[in-house]
Amino acid sequence: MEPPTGADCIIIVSGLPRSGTSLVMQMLAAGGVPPLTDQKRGPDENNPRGYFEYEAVKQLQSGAPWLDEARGHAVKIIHLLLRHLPLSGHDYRVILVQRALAEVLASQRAMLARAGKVAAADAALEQMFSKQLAAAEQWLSEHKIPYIVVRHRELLSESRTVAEEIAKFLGRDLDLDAMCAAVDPLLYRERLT
Amino acid sequence: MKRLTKRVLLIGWDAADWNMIRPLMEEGKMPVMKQLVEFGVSGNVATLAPVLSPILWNSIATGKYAYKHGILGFIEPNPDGKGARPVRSTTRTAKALWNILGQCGLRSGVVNWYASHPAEPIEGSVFTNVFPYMLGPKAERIPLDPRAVHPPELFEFAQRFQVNPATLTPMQVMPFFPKRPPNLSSEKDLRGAIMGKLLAECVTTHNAATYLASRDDWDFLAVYYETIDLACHNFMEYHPPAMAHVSADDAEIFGGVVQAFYEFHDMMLGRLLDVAGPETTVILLSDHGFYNNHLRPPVAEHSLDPKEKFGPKMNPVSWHRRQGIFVAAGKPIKRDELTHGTSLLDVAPTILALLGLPVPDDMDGRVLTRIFKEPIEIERIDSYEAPHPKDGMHRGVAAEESDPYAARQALEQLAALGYIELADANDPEKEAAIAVHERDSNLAQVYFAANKPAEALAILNRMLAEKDEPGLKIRVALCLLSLGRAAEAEPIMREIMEKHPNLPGARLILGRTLMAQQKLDEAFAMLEPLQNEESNVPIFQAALGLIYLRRGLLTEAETAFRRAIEVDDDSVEAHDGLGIALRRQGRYEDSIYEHMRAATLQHLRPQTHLNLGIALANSGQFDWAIRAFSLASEMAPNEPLPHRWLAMIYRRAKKDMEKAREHRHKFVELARRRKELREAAAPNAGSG
Repeated sequence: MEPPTGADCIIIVSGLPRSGTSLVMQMLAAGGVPPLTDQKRGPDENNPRGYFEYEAVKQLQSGAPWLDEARGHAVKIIHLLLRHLPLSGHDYRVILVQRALAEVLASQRAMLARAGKVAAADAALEQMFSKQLAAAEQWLSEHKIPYIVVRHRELLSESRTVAEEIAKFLGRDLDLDAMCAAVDPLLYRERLT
Repeated sequence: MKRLTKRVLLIGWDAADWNMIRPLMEEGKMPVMKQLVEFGVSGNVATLAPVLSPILWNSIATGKYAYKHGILGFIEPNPDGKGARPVRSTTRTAKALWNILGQCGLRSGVVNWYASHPAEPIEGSVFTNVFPYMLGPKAERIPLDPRAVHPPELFEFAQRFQVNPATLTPMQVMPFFPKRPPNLSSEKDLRGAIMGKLLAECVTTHNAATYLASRDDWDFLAVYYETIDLACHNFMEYHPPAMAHVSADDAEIFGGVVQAFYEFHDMMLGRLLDVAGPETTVILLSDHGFYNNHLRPPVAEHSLDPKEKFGPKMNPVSWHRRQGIFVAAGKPIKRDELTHGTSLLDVAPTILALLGLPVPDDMDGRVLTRIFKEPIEIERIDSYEAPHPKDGMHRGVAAEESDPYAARQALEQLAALGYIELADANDPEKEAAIAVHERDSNLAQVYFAANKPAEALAILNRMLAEKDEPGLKIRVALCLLSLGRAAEAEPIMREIMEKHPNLPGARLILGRTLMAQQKLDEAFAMLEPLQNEESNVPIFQAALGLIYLRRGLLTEAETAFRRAIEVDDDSVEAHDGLGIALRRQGRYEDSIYEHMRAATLQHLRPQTHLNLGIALANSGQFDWAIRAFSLASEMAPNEPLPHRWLAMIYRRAKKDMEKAREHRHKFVELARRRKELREAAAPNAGSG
């Protein structure tokens, strides 16, 4: 059991792009955790309910003065940028979202295709992404940053259980019904049969 | 397996060429090399494609093609997405000799080997290929990276081996300018300074090498000297006779630099052999040669700016001759003999055999059994590649470090998806993109040269989808030709000829696609004008010779091939073609000689062995013919023709009906498979 999160704690939702990080951000927002977002990237066909992103996160490796603003909020940071988080001065809780890699890549491919772009070959990416995810988990363990792994498929099939686990991990009294209502299974498009 | 020598010293002289060395040996200016040649076996070594040093030296160290060892160029993307960096040891995906020897309980030393940085934690010592460099791009002193030396306790001591170019004295530099020195302090003309830098880096390498060689704790020492290649790229245009664009002044000042570096290497060789001792077996080789004569490529616009020499106006690779040098000497090695048909890939398995270790089947080279005094037994194993606690491979490095290309792809994809931003400046981005492009281009070339045109084609098509380049299209056409899909190659080449009529080689390749479809009149009309062009590219004449052959004009074919050989006696295509022309005239012995010559120039060329086999069979030398056809089939396992000939020889000459049936069956099977592949690959296959 992790200690309860204080008002200053930064809740990070992380994972591969298209693994369900936006969905978890929606659930947290519905449950009572305000998201840190600048709304620069609005809803679109890929994420009809929005991305819940904060533009400055992309420059995390160059510094993160915005982290003070993130206290008490949930912020989305992709797996590759986690290791650039400053290790002192902040209290993090990380929700690591995982989804079958084949589904992630299919979803990325679809998103790029909608933008008229071509995705890289799956084989190289699959291996690299899987190693990067393992490295991200290792980094969290090494630096004793509390984290929980949430699986995308369970988010949809067992929303209540997952919402309870998240609330328990954060040590917060979240609105579980609202969290579950935020889940729209119709948006689960690139699924493995 | 019996160990044949106490230890092996492998010396690499990048770009060293017999065309420079032989005259110098005769003049007594390379006495150590002369002695080594007399004491051992020597000959040409055929390079691999593409002729790029990092790729080649890693094929030498691993015994494998680059699609297996993964070192595919000079640079690779920085895993953090910011630009590119020199290719690293963490990227190598196959074990080098020093890794294999470590897991077999032997100790190695490695000095300056390409892509050896950061130093691997091997059983022995490493000075990586960043060790010789003391100065940065603006001639500023750069601190030595601790990862340049292994074991770490050697680091402090190692720094005393480094020579700073700024500390070289005139006495040390002047021998390289025997007639007249340049202004060494000129800020405008950097050629004198470049020579000093090359000398300092060369001596640094040599210091580390002699230090390791003088210790008695090694079984294998690999030392790589890059300087001859760099000296040639910078100063070969002045080498006598100086090229047409060179001024008389420059010819006098810089004309002696290349020769002086060869003589200097001979002196270093003497010292290294002295400290290594008489119990050591030595293998000295270059990865390719370097044109020093009329075949030097034209320099469009001469410039004092050294960057221009490697810029778009100059293609450095066009200076590289396909034949390098190979010398082996030591107690188990024959004395004063020539050896032929050596490939860079053969070095690693031969060294394993010398040290009494099994040779793995996943190495692409062969043990050079003919260089040994006594016949040797070779034990074989599948592979050494499984991880071993003493192999000294990098372990536990970040995923991005071990595959920077995939890391780059992942970064690009994340950036395209809008989740990260790549480096803010434009240049680093361009650099990384170039590294990826070069890697793909080189990988396609490696596959093509390794008789894997389908793999090359897949890469080239992917590259073409990203960027439409005529050069890529020509290479696609060549792959299609190799796959027997000439009808698909033809429209590609016609489009190229229409849009880029002056592109070198386009006419030649279109001619070849027409020939492959038996459109001989059209092919002749395409290639015949080349006969009248003043071209020193022998491949044009060789192609013309092939057309004449197809039309049955044997005398004309012979003339065309001989013209090609006159320009360049190293032309494999011309010697092989001449062999066919002579055979068809019934001159079998001359034909065999020409095919043999082609095979000695480039052993790994299956069609040469096929043609040699046919000439041998025609002259009644059936045992030799069987050997040639077997080699051809080993090199090109999907090629049906060698089996057709083998079936015929076993049936008619050897009366071995079982073997005849076996090869007949293989021929029919491979021919059927080839036909099916062609039909499946046809553009309208499966339609309607």
